[in-house]
Amino acid sequence: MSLNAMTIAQSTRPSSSPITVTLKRLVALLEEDETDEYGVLQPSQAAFKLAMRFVVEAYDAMGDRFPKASVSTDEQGSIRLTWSKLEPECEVRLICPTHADQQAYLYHELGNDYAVERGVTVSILLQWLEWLNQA
Amino acid sequence: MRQFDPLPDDVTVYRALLRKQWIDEDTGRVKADAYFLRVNERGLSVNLASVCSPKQCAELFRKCYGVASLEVGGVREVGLDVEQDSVNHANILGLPYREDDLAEAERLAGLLAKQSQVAWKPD
Repeated sequence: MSLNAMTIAQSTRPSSSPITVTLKRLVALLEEDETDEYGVLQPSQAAFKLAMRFVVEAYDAMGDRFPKASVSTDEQGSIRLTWSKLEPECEVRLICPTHADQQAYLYHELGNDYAVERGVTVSILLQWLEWLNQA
Repeated sequence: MRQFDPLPDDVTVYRALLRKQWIDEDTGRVKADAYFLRVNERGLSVNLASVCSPKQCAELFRKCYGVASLEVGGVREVGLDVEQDSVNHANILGLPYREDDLAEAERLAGLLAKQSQVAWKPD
């Protein structure tokens, strides 16, 4: 997994390609202070590994259709990846939990339709990223 | 007993953006991430624009990457409320904890984010 990520990051992908930007943003989270006024700032190891796995495997399947994500941590060190589109306004959020024994979940929204998918797998993430691309 | 009168709908409140990742790097818009209730939090902390500038709001915190403004009426339109609890402070009330209702917590955080305008950012 980490070799794939490094390969992507160091490959011929332009530095502004969606996958490169997403990976750089994830790695940048590790360089943050451990905590801040709001709570835990640095992602947990479990959250980081899971987020990297989702991103790399989604990119493996989607190639250049993989959309750029905005990333953050919550106050407990979970990683939140947000894929958004302005027209039509829709969003997919993937939350990779702090602890390995917790389940990842995905939130999707288009207008007034929204729902949460629990127990997310790469194929579920792929389905919703393709949905976002086609919205 | 309430110490303060209900805030009118046209009042503006400020939410301090304590993490740089709460602002979308690509669009400059505030993300849902800024509007989740933490465990043991009764409501989301906001400051009243009538008594402090966005910069003064930011200065209440060690690090602040921006200040978002929201209209109280807009917050009420999504089924939440804003209740004043001190001269310069209020809380957005009615948000569920993620542990209790994940979909609603995500939905409402997103709706608050969509209403937010970035009123101040550091130079």
